[in-house]
Amino acid sequence: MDKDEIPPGDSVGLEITFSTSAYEGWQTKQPLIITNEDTSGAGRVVRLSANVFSQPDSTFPVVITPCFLNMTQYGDQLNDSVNFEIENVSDQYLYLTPVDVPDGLFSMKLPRSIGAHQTGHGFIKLKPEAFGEAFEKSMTIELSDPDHTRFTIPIRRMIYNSPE
Amino acid sequence: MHVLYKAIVLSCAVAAVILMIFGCGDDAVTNSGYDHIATGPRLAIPDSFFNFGLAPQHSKISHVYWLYSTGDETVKILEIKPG
Repeated sequence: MDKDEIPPGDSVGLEITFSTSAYEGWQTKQPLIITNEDTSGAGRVVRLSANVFSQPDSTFPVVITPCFLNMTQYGDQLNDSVNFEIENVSDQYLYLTPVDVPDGLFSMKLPRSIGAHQTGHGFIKLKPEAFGEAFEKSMTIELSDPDHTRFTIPIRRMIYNSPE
Repeated sequence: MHVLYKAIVLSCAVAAVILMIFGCGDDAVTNSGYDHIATGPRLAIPDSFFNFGLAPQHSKISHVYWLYSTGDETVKILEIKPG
């Protein structure tokens, strides 16, 4: 969050990060935001949920490989893009919709649809203004299957300078 | 009896229309925004729930929630407690 005061009529984005750790299955978290809105200390709750997995499961409609995108840079060799595959292991034609992609860090190419038992390819490319940035973000996509299954793909970029 | 029934139905219809027009509560919102400015600091979080869906273990995933100041005083974020 860029600021901790919001003037009347203004807005601010509050980024909540969830560390999936060794959790497994559905997890729900409810961070509490305490403001000067009231003095009861009740605050406002935002909620998040995630279905944490250790290995892709045969029940998933798609398998994303890798399921974790690493853009870590070692030394001066620029690592500004990463490819990934999305394999539709279901029996249905699936449309993919990005529902949450971080602003300003990278551009993303995602197949609009993937036929049953077909594989699509996507990639993300770092924007020049983000070359010097280290971050741990994620992007969430939603499928058109009856359950509207969502996948969140973590994206990590660390920068390690060469020893002098 | 039939006239009385029609009168009751008509009254209910008129009451429903009045409620639709004037029945908004204090925190009523419209699709385009907030109807009025509340007094004091007021915080609104229209999308307070996010579903990440499937996510791999041992990773960090994040989402930005938008907080709106809808009152007539500045909202101060005093503390954020992890859930």
